[in-house]
Amino acid sequence: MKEEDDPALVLRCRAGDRDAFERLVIRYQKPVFNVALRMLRDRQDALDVAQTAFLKAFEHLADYDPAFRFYSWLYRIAINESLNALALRKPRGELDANAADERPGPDRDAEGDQTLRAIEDALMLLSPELRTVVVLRHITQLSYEDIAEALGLPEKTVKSRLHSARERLRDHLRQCGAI
Amino acid sequence: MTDDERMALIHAELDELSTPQRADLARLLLADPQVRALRDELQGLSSRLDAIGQVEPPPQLKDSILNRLRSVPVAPTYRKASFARWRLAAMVAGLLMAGTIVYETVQGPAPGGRETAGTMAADAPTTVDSVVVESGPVTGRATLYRDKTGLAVGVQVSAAEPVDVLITSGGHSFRINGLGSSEPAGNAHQTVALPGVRMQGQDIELSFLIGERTVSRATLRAPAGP
Repeated sequence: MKEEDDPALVLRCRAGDRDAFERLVIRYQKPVFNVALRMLRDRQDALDVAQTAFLKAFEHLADYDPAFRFYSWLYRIAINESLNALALRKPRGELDANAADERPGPDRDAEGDQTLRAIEDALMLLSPELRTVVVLRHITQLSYEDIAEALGLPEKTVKSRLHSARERLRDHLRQCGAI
Repeated sequence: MTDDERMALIHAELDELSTPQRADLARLLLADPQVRALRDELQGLSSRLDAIGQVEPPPQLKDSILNRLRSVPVAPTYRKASFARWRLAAMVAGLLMAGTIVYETVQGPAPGGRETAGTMAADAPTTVDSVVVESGPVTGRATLYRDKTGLAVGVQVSAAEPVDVLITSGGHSFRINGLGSSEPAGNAHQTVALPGVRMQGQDIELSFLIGERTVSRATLRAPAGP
């Protein structure tokens, strides 16, 4: 059976069909959780943000403009919630050595682990604005067009931010000898 | 070439290079080992970022979301206009997915006698309504025509980028894709027949989209027919 597309599911949601929203949750829980996780580097905070993002999406479906992609709108909510969570966070000073160490692969070698941790550390040293574009581009694999839509920015700005972010990441990684 | 220009080119490679950029970069890489090292470094970083990938969310995430949703009213209130747009967008998407969307798109000049195809071909159409489109990056004119067999909308636009036009009326929706994508001067004209749409005093809404963003709207009026 063909998967229902997002507009059809949202329409059913708005008619009060909770099953349709469940389908959207199943479809997008992974990227939304990962956006929050990489923005916050805290599993529990990411869970909270993901839940809140879906709830807000459900409550504000009336405000969603169908001219935009549903997932861009949803990611925008998740990013905004992540930024709110970051703003409310007490300064942590040094990077938390026990911060989320999430990895998709089952077997990473020690060197790979070190590099991954160095990259995760460097990501958290970026400003939230720069981290946002890196997360959307490299973690969720969104196109520049989708990122621009999600953030409400021109594509040119997205690229420019991404370039700055990569250069800063490279500088951080050089400083800590990871590259 | 300045340092900034070199750096921009290296980043551009990660974002997809145009053919002239590719040639420029190839020359640079051959000529300058420092540029090569820099490019390798950024490419390696980009690959490592891609390799971070996504982790599976905990299984309880979905259930906790759905549990919390139970406290939210079943049918969120919505704006009528917004819902109407949604219904039509969903209908278009669903029909496209199923491959059953029915629309007639006629390439070529403005309707006139036998230049018009499909159900409009038999009779010379008369103009029912016409509006100027001049907001946003799209300018031009939209015209509602009628003949014995039905209604049609002709759209003539000028825009820097290809424009999609979503036409909706009374539960029917039609779409013109990529208007202007093949015209060198950015001027384009297409006519689409509106099977099933009757003259009932209703509005016919046109949304002009560039890259799925609505950049302009127009409304034609189909007065109640005799």
